[in-house]
Amino acid sequence: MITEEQVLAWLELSATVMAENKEFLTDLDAAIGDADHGINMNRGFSKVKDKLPELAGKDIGTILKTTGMTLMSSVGGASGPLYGTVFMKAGQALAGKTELGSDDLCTLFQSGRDGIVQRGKAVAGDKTMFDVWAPVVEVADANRGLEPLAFLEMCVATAEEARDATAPMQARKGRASYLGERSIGHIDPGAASSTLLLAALRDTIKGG
Amino acid sequence: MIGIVIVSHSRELAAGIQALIEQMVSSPEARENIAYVGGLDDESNPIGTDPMQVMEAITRVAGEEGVLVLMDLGSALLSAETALDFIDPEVAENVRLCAAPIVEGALAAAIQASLGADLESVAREAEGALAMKRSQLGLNDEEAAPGVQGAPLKEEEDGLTLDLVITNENGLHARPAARFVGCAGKFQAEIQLEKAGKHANAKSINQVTGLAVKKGETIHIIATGSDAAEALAAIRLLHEDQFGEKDVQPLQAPVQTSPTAVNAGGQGESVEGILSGIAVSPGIAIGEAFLLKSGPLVVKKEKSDSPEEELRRLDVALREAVTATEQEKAAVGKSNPQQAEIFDFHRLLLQDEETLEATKKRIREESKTAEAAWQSVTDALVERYRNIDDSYLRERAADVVDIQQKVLRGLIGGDLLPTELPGPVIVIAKDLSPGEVVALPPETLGICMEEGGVTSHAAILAAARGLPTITAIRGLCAGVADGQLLILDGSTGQLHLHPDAATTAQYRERQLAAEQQVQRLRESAQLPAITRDDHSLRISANIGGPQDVAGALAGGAEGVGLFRTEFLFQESGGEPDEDSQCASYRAAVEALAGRPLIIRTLDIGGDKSLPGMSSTCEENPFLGRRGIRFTFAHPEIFKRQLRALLRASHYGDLKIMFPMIGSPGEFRRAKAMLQEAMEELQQEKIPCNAAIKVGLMIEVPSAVILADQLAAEADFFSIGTNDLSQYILAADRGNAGVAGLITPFHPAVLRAVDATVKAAHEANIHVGMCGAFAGMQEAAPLLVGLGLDELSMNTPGIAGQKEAIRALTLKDAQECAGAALRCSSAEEVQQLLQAFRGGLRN
Repeated sequence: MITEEQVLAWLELSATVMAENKEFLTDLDAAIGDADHGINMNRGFSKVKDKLPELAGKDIGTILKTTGMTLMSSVGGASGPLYGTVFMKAGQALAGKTELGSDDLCTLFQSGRDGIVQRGKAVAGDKTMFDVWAPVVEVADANRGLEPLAFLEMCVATAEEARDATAPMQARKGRASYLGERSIGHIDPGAASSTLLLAALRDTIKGG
Repeated sequence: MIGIVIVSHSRELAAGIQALIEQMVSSPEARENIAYVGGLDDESNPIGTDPMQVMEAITRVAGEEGVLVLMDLGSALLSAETALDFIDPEVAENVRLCAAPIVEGALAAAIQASLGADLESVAREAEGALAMKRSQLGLNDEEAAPGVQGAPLKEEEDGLTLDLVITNENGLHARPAARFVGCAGKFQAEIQLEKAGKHANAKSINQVTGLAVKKGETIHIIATGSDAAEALAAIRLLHEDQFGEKDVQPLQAPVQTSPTAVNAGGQGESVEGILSGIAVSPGIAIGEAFLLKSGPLVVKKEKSDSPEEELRRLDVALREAVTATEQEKAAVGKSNPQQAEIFDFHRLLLQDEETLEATKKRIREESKTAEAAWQSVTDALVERYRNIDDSYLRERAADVVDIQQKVLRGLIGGDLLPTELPGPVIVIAKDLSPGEVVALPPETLGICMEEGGVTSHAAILAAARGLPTITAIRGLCAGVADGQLLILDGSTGQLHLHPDAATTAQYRERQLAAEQQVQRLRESAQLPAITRDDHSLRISANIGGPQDVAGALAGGAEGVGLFRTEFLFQESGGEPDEDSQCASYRAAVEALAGRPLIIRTLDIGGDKSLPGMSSTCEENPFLGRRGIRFTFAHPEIFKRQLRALLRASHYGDLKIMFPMIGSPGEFRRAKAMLQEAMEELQQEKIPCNAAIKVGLMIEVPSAVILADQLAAEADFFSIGTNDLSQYILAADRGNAGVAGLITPFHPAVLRAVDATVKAAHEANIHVGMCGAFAGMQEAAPLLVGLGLDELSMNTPGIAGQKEAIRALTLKDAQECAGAALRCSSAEEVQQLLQAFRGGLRN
């Protein structure tokens, strides 16, 4: 089972990962967008990190909801409302929980994906973070029976594959869609940051 | 009054909109009801939107009458939507997120709101703001304010709808239908048209005409999508203008509107016995007429194993047909704008998604050739038109046949020509495709066409073949009989139908003199360019592809000094893959059989663009991302080309040249990428010439100034005088107002050439010139005197330039060039050269 402390550790690791990958995400975004995704994600998660001390001892639902609120008002780009909604929906769905099993992670991913659809109105193939979340939810749903770590390994592998599969897509949402065919050949930055978040969760659990 | 919230990524933009609004809206109450949200509190990255700020702003201006929110783009929309989730549902119910463009919409909304209008009206006014702008720019034809009068927009569950009664005399026939489809196509929204239970996609010309909407009938339009309101507003304006026919005599059905009836060019038989057209390729041809019969084309090859190749052929043929259609429209349009619109209809037919998809599907799934697939799909379309319950639209089947044949001719035209002619003849045709001009048998003396224009590809290719050619001769096919003796004067555009003996004799004499000159040059073309005192220069050809090599060698070229790879890219409709690039480069170097070949990497930008690439609009394209700058920005394209070049370098003396290099750093960067490509190939065990020679174009002033540094790192230079002149003289080639200032004879340009040559020779590297200047015979003393090692030019100029060089001595040429460098204007240089020529003659 994943404890409330591990969720906090995950969010802390996410802040580190976003700081480390600021350039990487910004470079991806520079190719097809407005070159601020890395900056935005780093800003958002460093604000989340600042909030973490206050959240110690709170239930997981509250932690995720607060994370969502914080991202919402600090990220700045379209990923603010998107990730904000993801975490807030997940927080609502997991309200009161103090530990999470694979089943709960599945709920987390599902509500996150639903939040993305509600907010971004993306469909498969639009070259957005949805293209990572949708297959992850499918794989997650099919592997509920696994232990959390094995379960997350499956999810991360799926996410990485799905992230790379956004490269040949032509963007139909967001600023990248203005580029039309020229958006082809580049990984979607949102797909990349979503994969990073998922990998950070896996790494947190792996590290104990 | 209602509240308004403006949401922008940028604080400055929000403040700017506030300033604009406050110019128009002075009442404090109205100003207080508008809130501006822009940017983030992060000083180093202030661009962005914050849903919480949007929420606060909405709450601040919310009253009983509701709030209109205008947003700029992207996350502004998401933030506004998110904000609504957090607001008291009772307030949220009265908040409208508005799709209007932010600046126009904000002004329109602020003014309406200050006048006390309700939320609905303000929203409508804001959303109509774009239509107002479109009308102002002439994108619609009526300057009426939208959204106020006219048929009402209704909101249905599945989109916005609009009912219109068609008042055009002939209903929604070809021309208004083309206008309608053209208008609908400008919007993202999905737009459906319904008449009496039948549906059509408003963006498909065939579906729209297929509805056969007659005068007095009502159409029901349903639009869904983010710009649905704007789309319907624009359609309504178009309808009010009767789709462009308001003040126009309707075409009387069944008037012949097919372009074959429209003549773009010549005067016809204005002088007895002489037909006139547009002279597109000079020279005189005297001979019998041979009429090419132009019946419907017959497709012989039904199946193909390579769908990719067929799709590519289809794409090329369609694009050629669209270009031809646009040229025809431009030619007709000047004298007859009404008639010209039929070409819009043709263009829409050629670009119709439905037709295109059906054709592609047959190519992919039924292994059909492009011509077979196109013919079967368009045959079905012709049938559909023939069965429309409207006599006028039935006539439009002829237009479909027209575009069908146009595309088929591009695909198979060349195959249908006679492989031999009865003897030397003047070919008379309604129209010839570029492929057909190339495929004409060698007995062809000259070409006359009833259609076509001066800049069509067919005309350019005819000139390239050296065939005297006249196009756009009205009444040609009806006025000329097979076997009749004709005189074609490709310089004046006149065709003599019944020349008398005196005229014929006079033309024979002129023809003979011209032929003798050509003959003399042809005989001497292979002689080297050596001055009378034994100084020799290499004379090379500029080519656009491997197919030009044989002609270049026959014309006297000793190698290729410039292979422009842009044509390969343009022909392939984007970027040819590495293998096909390699095949072209290899074919060229092999055809040269050991002679040197300089290939320039992709030189896009300036006035040259690629379909699907580099479409960003630059204010100053010649000072923009062109040449090496373009390839640096597209490293994947560059890398593929470098790999293809290196692979081909294994097969002969191939050198690589980079365009638009402005500094040693850029040259090093390009060479580093070449090195990378070479290492890749070596790892993949693909052979290439590891000692390949690498040089650069000298065409940027900074490269001239740093020529000594560049010479230390390059294997050769080639001076591009066209660009170098415009950059040195600071005048844009494309700007007619200053283009006259550009001349390579300017002493500043000559000094740049001089400095470049000296720097090259100091470093013991080869220096050539490949601009138009290199081919000018009158410049020969300067070119020789300045010390260039190689001159590369278009093939037709080679023999003449070699002859001009053979008449010189190096010593005289050096004196002449030295004097030219001391001149202070191009005119002085020209006078000097004139005096020099006078001296040669004496």
